Amino acid sequence: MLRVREGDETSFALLLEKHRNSVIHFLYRMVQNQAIAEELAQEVFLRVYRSRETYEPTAKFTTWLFRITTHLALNHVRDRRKDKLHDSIDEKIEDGAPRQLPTREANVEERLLRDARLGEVRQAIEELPEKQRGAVLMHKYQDMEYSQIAAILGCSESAVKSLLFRAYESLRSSLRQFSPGGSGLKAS
Amino acid sequence: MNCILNTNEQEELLLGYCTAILDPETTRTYKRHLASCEHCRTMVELQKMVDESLGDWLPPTLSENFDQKLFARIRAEQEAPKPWWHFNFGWKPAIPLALAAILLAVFLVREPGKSELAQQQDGIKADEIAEVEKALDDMEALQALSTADTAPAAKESI
Amino acid sequence: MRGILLLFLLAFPLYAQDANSPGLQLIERLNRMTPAERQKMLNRMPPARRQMLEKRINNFNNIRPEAREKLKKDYEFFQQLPPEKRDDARRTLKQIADLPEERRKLVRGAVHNLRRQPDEIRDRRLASRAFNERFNEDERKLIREALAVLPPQAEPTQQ
Repeated sequence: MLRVREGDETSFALLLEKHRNSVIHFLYRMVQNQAIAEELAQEVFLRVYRSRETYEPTAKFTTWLFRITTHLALNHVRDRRKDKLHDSIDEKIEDGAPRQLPTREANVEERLLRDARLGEVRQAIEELPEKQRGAVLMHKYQDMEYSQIAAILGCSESAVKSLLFRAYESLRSSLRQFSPGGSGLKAS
Repeated sequence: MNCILNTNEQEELLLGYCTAILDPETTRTYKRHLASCEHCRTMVELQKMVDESLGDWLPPTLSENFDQKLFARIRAEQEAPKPWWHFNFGWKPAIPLALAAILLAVFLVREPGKSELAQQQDGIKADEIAEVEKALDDMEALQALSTADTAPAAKESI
Repeated sequence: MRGILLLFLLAFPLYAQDANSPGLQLIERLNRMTPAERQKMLNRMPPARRQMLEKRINNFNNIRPEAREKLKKDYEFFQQLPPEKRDDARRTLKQIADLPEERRKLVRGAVHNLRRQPDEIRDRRLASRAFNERFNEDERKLIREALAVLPPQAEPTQQ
């Protein structure tokens, strides 16, 4: 990024190559629409490029990058909520054209069960408040520590823990029906 | 069934355990706790199911022209004339910016009929750089048309 | 860089008198800035773009004074065209620039010579068989279009 700041455009291309997928995948899971995710990702990298001259390496680059990414994602999710657009999970799955589940097992029944669980968890993610959603996605898919998530979201570590605990609690509730013993499990 | 741990402790240990970030001592302690706490065992099971389902959630393939579109947008932005305030956001140091603003203010509040030199020192706007480039484009094209008079072929042309 | 900019400062006094062409006015304003101000303004540009601009300005500085004066007049005339005509003209000039070298020289030569003709003689020559045989239809079109965007330079001795 320092080389990009000095005007080295090849370095920008390398930076894009390195971080493009993680940004887009995060955005996809936040907005659950691939076209919108790519559009937002374009805006992320445009902002990175525009800000290159003012970039200061005071924090990890990924923190800075995801701060921009999360800001755009949260704004989009909030705007969507205001517009009251709420596609069904089935439409989202088709729109996103997700890749096939990894075929770890040939058992059709198991695969159907995994599909069902995936559908539930995706819907649960969709229903999470946007900050909880962002925190979970960064924690799960970017392997970020609490401190980095806090820096990105602009809150304390304890606030991040609170977001994550509540988010994962919601996700576990959504899958409770699939656990052995079914719905007989007591809530915590 | 009640767990001896409070909610926050449960959650922190649960997540730490399932993401394998607990130190060995804490892991051993938590495992001992799990052996006697059905509630936490259930939570671990559910959390693993959540992790597995999240892991199954694969994003779609990226569009082939993503990079191309991005670079096209960057080029378009670079070529478009920018409003005068655009460059202000690109300035790193705030102090020189503030000093420049003060200097500009001083020039603006000077008495009417300020010196030509002072007038000349008013900053040129950023979008005007694009105007300069455009003027140079046109003049170079016109000049290219006009420099044929010394070419031998030109004398025979018409 | 300061040297180049100082050269810039010294070499553009002729444009200080221009009042109608914004591009020339701006070049003159750049010329009047102190080196520090000019450097500050140009430093906002991406380095490659700034270097290109300085190089072009430097090339411009090095044009002979009389040729520069003539170019200035051509540019002022060009600027007075309506915007859509200016765009058409730019396309024409670009198409001429893109011609193969030999054809480009001939086309430019024709434009240069025909500009110096009084209207009547120019029109006769444009309609002549020699002109039609020397240039293809596209080239003839380019020549006519280029003549429309440049001020005539009819010289009494040519009549």
